[in-house]
Amino acid sequence: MKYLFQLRSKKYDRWSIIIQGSLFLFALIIIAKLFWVQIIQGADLKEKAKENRQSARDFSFRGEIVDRNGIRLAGDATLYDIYAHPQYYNKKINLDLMTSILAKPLNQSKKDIKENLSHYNESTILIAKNVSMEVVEKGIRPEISKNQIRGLDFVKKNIRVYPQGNLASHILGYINSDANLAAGVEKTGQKNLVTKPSMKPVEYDGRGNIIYELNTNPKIVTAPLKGSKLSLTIDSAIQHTSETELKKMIAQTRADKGAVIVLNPRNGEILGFAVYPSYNPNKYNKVTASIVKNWALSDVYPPGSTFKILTIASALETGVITTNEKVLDTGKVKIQGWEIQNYDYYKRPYPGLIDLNYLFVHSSNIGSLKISLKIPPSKHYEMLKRFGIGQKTGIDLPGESAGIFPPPNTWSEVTHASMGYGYGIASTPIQIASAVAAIANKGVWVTPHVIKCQSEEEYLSKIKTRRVLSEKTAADLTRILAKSIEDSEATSGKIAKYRVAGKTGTSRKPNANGVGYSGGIYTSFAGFFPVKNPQVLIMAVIDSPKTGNSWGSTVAGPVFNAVATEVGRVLHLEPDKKDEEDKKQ
Amino acid sequence: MGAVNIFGHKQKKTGLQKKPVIQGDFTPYKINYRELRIYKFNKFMAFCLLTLVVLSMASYFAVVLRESVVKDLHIKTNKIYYENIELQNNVDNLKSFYAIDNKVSKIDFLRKADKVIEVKAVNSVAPKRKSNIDKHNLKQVPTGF
Repeated sequence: MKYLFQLRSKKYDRWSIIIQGSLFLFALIIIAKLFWVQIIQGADLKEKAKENRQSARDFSFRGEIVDRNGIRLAGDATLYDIYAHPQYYNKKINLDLMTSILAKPLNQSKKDIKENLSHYNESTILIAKNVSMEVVEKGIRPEISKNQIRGLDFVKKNIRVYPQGNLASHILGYINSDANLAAGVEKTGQKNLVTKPSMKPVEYDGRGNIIYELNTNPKIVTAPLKGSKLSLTIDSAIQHTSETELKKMIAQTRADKGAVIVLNPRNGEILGFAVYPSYNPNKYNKVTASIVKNWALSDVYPPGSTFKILTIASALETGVITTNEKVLDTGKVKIQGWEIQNYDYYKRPYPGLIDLNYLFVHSSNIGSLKISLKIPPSKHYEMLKRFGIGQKTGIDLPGESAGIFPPPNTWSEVTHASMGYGYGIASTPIQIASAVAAIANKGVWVTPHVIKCQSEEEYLSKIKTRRVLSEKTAADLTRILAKSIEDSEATSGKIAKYRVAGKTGTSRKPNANGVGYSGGIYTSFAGFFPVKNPQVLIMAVIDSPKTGNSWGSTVAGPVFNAVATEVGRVLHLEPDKKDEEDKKQ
Repeated sequence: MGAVNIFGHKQKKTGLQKKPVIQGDFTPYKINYRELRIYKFNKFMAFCLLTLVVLSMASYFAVVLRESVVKDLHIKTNKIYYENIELQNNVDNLKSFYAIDNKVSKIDFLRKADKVIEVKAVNSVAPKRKSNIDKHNLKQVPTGF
């Protein structure tokens, strides 16, 4: 008979208790273990687990560099390095098939590829480096997946690309991530360029699967990651004009090097910074370090007559002269045994009493040195320091030099005198440019910079300003400089539509060891316009032109004129000169 | 002797139960209301557990599916993005100031003509056509305004 129920025997009860007890004990052990792992060891294990994770965001793009109008100056491209791992080869696939797939796209011989692939003792074999994405994605990958080939690894990497070629090469610099080397804004803007937007990264486990989190937003997950964009103050059109005109003049005069700096004196923004010789940052490793170096920041030169602007400014500000001052220009003087004369001594041996306008028009060395000697050395030193001479401007580019500016207690009379016309000190072109820009900016010196500030707070924290001259002194000097350009026989600074305030400079090039002078000269021009409301300062310096009749007015001056004309057009500056005045010139 | 409760089997109250079918020394087992409720509660809990297990499995598979979609999207968008960057680099390079400069200098837009051919000025005044009215000596027909 089949029983509808079964009664529990004592034996059953005993076994039931044993099994239940065992299960309970087992559950207790599991709970205890979980407590141990999750609560007691939780934090440590969490950290260990993180170490085993692989961030899916390892491969990210460096931020782009754009000019002030959004034109892309630097970006990233993707390249692949191809490796083979023989231990993972699919045994059913023969090497010939792998060879034939790889050889053609990689432009290598089948023999070489096969030989490479058959190093079975190696764990990793390098097949090819820097293969373009197109070759990998269109030429190799589809074939690999079609034939189910294993053991090939495509390692993605970034390469910096400068689509504009040579344009602004000394501003942009270069980046060598492998060697951790950089120059230009690639170095100074590094922090910005690698700052990634704040988003939760996706993580892979050891097997390459995404570690999923319920709150992972697919939009964020799928967005390609790249660093912040870096906007420069450079205007590509102005930069290109500066580079072209500089290159043209250097070719014409067979000069060694040159630089053109275009900056906005109001806020210190550099609109163009042409440096010659230039290079293609895409091939920075093909040129020497001396070419990659931005000499306009690192090298110093005696500024020559452009420095007379600062001498007269200092004298006016300290009150040792007035705007109507007249000095006796004897054409030649002897100080401490050193004979100093005007450049046109043989043409005008004794100019006599000259005013400031004559001093600038004829670039009188004697007039300048006499005014320089009128200023007490300590006050003169303090004034030039305020102009930024002898100290770094703080420009956001690497490798800036402070220049050579001895303290006043070391000055002899002849040093002080020669300082009046731009000798006895050495400065960088950017120092002179920013000093003259202070006059254009109503007497306020502003830090020159190439990286655009994103906010007013950033501008205030990064850009330093200081009053160098009173507004009246700056206005007086601007008027005198503009008049001197108009009265000058030279064409430098005479451009259509705009009145220019500026000064040419020609100085002898010192020997590399600092003793004596070489045969070369530096020609320069520093000027700003429109005089009515100065918006642009242009500084042109050309080192060692090798044609006859090389002066600031014949070499640097025409570069200034050409660049200034184009800048006025590009920036739509309001003209401050009547048409009749243009016709007169 | 009372009825024995075997879970899952309902007792039938028949006349046969009044008489013991077999005789012997059996442990008496009594059914009570409490045990019945516990049984029902356990059954309910088992159902809930089973439902939860099924739900968990379903949601796990949904998550895995979504994850794979996300992964797929990630790969595809990145691929397009990288391709786009390559193309953008090429475009930027082609329209760069230096590239345009080189192109313009090759084309030489401003080159002067090697030879200028001079041609005589063409008489721009058209010759007068003689009126047929005069020829055939027809009378003028008034046409009105």
